[in-house]
Amino acid sequence: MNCQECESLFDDMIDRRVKEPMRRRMELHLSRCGHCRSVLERRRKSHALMFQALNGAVGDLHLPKDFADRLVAECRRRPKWSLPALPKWALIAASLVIMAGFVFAAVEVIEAVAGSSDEGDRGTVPAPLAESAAPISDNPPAPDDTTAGSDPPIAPDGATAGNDDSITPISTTDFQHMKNQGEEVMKKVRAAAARLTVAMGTALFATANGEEYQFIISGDPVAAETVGSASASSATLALTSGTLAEGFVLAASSFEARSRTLGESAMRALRSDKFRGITIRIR
Amino acid sequence: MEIWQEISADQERGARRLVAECGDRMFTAAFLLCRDRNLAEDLVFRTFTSAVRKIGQYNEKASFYSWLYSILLNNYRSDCRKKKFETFESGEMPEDAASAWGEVHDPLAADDAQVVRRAVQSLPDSFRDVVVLRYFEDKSLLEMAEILSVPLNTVKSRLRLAQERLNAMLVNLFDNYNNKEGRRN
Repeated sequence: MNCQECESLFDDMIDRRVKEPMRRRMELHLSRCGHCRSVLERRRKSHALMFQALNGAVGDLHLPKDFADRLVAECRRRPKWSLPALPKWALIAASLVIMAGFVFAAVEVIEAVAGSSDEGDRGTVPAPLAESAAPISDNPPAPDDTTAGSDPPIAPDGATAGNDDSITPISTTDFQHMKNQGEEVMKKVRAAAARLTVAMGTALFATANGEEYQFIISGDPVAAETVGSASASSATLALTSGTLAEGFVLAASSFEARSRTLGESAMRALRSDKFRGITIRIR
Repeated sequence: MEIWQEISADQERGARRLVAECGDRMFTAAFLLCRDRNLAEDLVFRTFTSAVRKIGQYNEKASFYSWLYSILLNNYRSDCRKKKFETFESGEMPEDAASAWGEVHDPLAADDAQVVRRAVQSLPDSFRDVVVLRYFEDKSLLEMAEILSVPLNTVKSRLRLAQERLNAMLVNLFDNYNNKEGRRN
């Protein structure tokens, strides 16, 4: 083991998480290398110091006395508009209206991606997407608007749209990745379009309300496929709009192998630092 | 009964217990992150509200506290993106952060602890969350990757950069501490 390898394990060593046989190798190196020994010792002490200094602060700051009362009151109050408060048909109808645009836009992007040449050119977003993939407004619309199914809660919002009016181009790596997945994804998206529409619409409702949303779908392969497609298209959407799927959480307890591929490609795309707020959990 | 079970069983009692048991700790973490007491309080409020409302989504795979933390950090990062609070590249801090710590009740010399907290709060946004998880919560790198939903290597490199910055700011303090410890042994 060299010093660099050894140093990369210091944090784990401080946590006592280095397992055999790595531990032995590390101890052997430490017994021979005074430099690493002293750096590790220093790191250990700094860690203890930081821990003590930060944790010592817990007694210094107190939440106001009425905090618990306010929390209880807030939790009792129904959210301004909430999913359970809407009748199911209204939700589905409104979701369809809202989501149709997104799904078709997604299909279009994927088609554009899949259909373009192999020269590694950058993906440009087709015109229809610019309209339909505008960031969701911070303030959810009143329930009336959505139940009527007239105006979807999609409004260009200066605060959330950091990237003026245009949409950030997809980076070459992400683009390549999407391109490879494109053909497959397109089939999936089409096959599952209707179910996907409802599922993603529901999620986006919650997302528009500033809340994260979690799908828990188990057992059923059709459902798993839907989730796979949904995560792949939400990745596409997130890649092109940047704000769309904020706080979107997908979880599926069972996955078909092919859905897993899609889900994982979506996750990889979403893991890029640019979209740090988006979580997809697959279990 | 665990807190989360109590929240499911009796929302009000559970919410009160949540505040009593996790409130000040979460508030401190939030304040280390956003450096303004009002914003920190708001952050904790929103975190607890969604935790109580979505208690059904908690699965016992992670500890309840880690789950709370991931909600807090998600809210925090979305605030960062929305620029809800001012961000400081480095070195500067809002007045509040500099004055809020007040008296310090810990075995370290009061000044040292304050210097450390201020150093943490003067880090850029993208480093403060890893530092808080690592040094305030004492999480392992793997746990951090899970809570932050980023790959392990991202955690490693961000933590290393943060450590370098902290080292640069706190080198004298660390030296003193090392020497003191040395003499005691």
